[in-house]
Amino acid sequence: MTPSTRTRPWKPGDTPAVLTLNAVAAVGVLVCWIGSATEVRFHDTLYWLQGAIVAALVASVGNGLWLVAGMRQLRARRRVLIETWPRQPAPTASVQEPDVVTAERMTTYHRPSCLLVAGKALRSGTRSALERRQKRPCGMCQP
Amino acid sequence: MGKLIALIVRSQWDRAMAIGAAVLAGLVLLIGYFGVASTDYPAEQIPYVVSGGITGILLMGGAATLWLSADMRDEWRKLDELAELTRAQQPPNDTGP
Repeated sequence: MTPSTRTRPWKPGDTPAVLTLNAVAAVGVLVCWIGSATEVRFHDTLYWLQGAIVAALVASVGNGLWLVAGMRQLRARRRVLIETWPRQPAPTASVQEPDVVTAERMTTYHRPSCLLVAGKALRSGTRSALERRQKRPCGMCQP
Repeated sequence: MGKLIALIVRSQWDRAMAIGAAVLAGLVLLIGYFGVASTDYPAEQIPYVVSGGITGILLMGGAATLWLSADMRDEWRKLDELAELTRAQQPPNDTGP
């Protein structure tokens, strides 16, 4: 797996589309505000209020779809990364427990060679000791 | 101090914008509330509901979207780093004769 050339999880057309939707919604709310301010009868102002609500809904749906599109790209990227992740040899049975490592704020423990702990300040310990401290085994290196 | 703030805003522009939009949303909602409270006529209250209430909700939604998208960009960058590490660990393909 090669690193992505994109710096964000959206396709090139996604962000301009959501920005356009938000701009349209903002203009819609502005028009509805001016429209409602020019009406005298309460009943007539309600149409403008409905228009503003529709504009806000358009922006919300656009934002939601944009986030979902990003999440899909992230999920696909994660899947590809897991498939190409270097496989670790299965641990051989031994009398002594092998050491595993963890970092200060991590909730998981890892093999020392795991890429997820590369470059971090690590502490080693035994599996059982770390599990007593509510740490779980890493899903990637499976210590 | 000013330089530090500028640096944080530059590197975390999306979160800075999210906080700005959330603060603005709070202000707009407050102005809308006082506008509605200042008149007894419903026909005069609706423009405040539109300009204060709906705009505030719109801004709050924008702030939430920006904050979530910042988290997603962070994760994307992290996945890039991991992909780079994975590539570095793989042995080069032996394509020679």
